[in-house]
Parts: sequence; structure tokens; C-alpha cells
Amino acid sequence: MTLATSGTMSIGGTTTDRSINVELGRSATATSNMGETDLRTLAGVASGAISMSNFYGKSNYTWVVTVTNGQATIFGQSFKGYGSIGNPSSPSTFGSVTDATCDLYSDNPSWAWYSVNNNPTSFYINNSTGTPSGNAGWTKMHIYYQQTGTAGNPNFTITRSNMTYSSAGNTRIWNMADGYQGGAGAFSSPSNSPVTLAFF
Amino acid sequence: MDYQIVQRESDDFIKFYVAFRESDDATFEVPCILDDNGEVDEVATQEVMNQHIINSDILMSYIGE
Repeated sequence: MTLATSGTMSIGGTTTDRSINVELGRSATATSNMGETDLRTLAGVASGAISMSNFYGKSNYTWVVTVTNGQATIFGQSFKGYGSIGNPSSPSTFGSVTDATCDLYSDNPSWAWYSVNNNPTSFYINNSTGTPSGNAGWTKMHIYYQQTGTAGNPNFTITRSNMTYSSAGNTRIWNMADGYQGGAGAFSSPSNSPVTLAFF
Repeated sequence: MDYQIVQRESDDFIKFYVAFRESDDATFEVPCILDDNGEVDEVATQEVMNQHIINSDILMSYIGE
């Protein structure tokens, strides 16, 4: 989510774009104060005076990217989402994104996001040498259907520790939860496009 | 294939069942399935892992890993 750009802002409360607690993933009634590191980080004010207006338009996400899901038949299989398949020198590509390098890892790797034959969507990181290594780098993902930003409430929240994960060679793969949330492959379906992914 | 259960502080110590395949340095992880007593249901978790390995190998084959 992203906090509102003007108007009433409060530390507590349940309104998604006007509650700092909610933006930080805390309960609406959590005890928070403006001097805390987490609040200062969100506001972008490391020290000194801080005011509610410093939170306008701020987001707790570490990386936000919008996917225009495409579709292609490659090797006789139906791929939907965003990716690159086949010989690296002349791959078949489908879909597009607003940021082709993933900010979640130190080496900003290329990435992909697609389902095969309408099975659940997978999230691919194409270089396993960046840090953090292994099954890490993000904790949750918000998925927004049919929009290019993070306004309002997300359609789905995905928690990494609920996902199955695999890695081999230069690739890490997380298998998404759209098998039971929205239908298998829904996250990468062109019909839900554009899909904005926002990572914590 | 080597198997172990790991818990990481970064994941609030959730139990993951991890398989490591030496032939290609592949790693596979699934969240452990717990029984009514909160213990790891080893049979159910192994079944999920077996299917996960099959599915992951298929996905890896499309990208040449």
C-alpha cells in the first residue's frame, strides 16, 4: 500500500492509506511513536523533527513492479506472464515489466513471473549469487490486479514462508499460491493484467 | 538426496523440509505439514516434497537448469 498524498494521517487506525501502523504491517492499535526507527525510515527522516506530512505518499514496500502479462506457446507449452524461455542467445520472450532488474538482491538480477499450462504462477530470480542468498530476500508480496500502482487494498497477500522453493544453477523459484487464491495461474493471467507486485 | 528440517529466525522459525541433490546442487524446500499436535507429519510432508521436486525439475528444464 501507499499512504495518501494529502489529508488526515494518523499513527493508528484501520484506514489502509491513512494509518502508519497498517502501512508498517502492525495492528491498528499498536503503540508506535514518531521517533521510532521504523517510522523514521518510512517517513524518510533519519533524525530531527518529523511530522505527519513526512508520511504523505510513502510506502513500506522494498520493491514495486508492474507486470503486463503476456502469452506464448513455447516447446508446445503454454506460458503466461513475463519471462524468457529457450536458448539464451535467442530466447522466446513474453510479457513486459516496468523494472526488469529485481531490487530485492544485491546484484539486481533479471527475473520472471509466469505459469506453465495454467498451473500456479512461479516467481523466478535468474541469478543465485546475489545476497541475501537462498530462500530469502522478501517476506511478503502484495498483488494488485488490473492496476499499475499500489493504491487501495491488494487483491492478495503472499507470504514467502508459505511457499515451496527450489534452486538450481543460476535460478531460484518460488511457487505462488494462486492454486488456491484466484485459481491456478491467475496471478500471471493476461486477463488480470496489468498486475502490480509489491514486496516487503 | 539429503533431507533435513531447518528453522530460520528470518522466517519466525517456521519449519522447512529441505532436500539437497548433490548431482546438480539443487535445493528444494517445502513448509512442513504439522499434525494436530503441532508435530511434523513426516509422511504428508514427504509426499509434498516428492511432488515439488517433480514440478521443479520440469520448470527448471524449460530454462536449461
